[in-house]
Amino acid sequence: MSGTWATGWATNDIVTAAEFAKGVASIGDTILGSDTASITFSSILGTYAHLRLVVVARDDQAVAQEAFYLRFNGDSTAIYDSFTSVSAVFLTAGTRGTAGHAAGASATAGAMGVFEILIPYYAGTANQKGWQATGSVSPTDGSTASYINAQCNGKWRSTAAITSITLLPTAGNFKTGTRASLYAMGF
Amino acid sequence: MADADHPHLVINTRSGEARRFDTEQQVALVIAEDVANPKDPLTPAEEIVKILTESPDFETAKKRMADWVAAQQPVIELK
Repeated sequence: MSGTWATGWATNDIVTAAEFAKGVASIGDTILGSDTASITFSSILGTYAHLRLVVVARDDQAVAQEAFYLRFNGDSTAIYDSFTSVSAVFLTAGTRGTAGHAAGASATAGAMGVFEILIPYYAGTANQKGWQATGSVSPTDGSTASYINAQCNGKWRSTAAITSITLLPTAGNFKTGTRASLYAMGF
Repeated sequence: MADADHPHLVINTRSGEARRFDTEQQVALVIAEDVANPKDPLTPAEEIVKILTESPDFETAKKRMADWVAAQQPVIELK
């Protein structure tokens, strides 16, 4: 008996390598033990379909919340076009793209920005790469002050396969306790 | 030195290794190496060639080949 994801599984099914690769798996994870200026996931295998990045973030700047950013393949040239619904500002030709929002140093202790970022078809070489992120930050307990519920979308004007992703705060550092987990999703 | 002295964190998704660097330029070198030499898995033909060329003798090559074949499928048997 050999099942598949499509047909379902039964006891004693044999899972082939090809079928197994259609699943979702964690390929990187970190919880910061000290303040950190950038987090990079490198050497990303090109055989999966999509990447999903889950980020719980706080930075050390004196604000309730502010954006954090991403870069692909270490590319800091001005070819990122991105949008955040918080400011409703479209950032064209940025050197990094808006990927979410982090709680700042003015937020209640332990408050974090919570974002999920999807990067579809990241390993293709025919088209430019895009991402879509959704999430929120609730900086003050029991208050709507500075609360945000955001979408952050954008594209990198490159057709190169993505082999690394770097997360960057607006300025300063991500605080201790910030966590980022990278998942690969199969075809 | 404490982690804070090396503020840039790089996690290699293949090895799981986490390393810290002092500067963005050092991180850029690591990333550039990724871009220049993306390390996709070897094809079965490449795996076989690697086993044959890296084995010190024929008996070792035979054993490594048998181990490699046995490891291919199935990767998991559900219980």
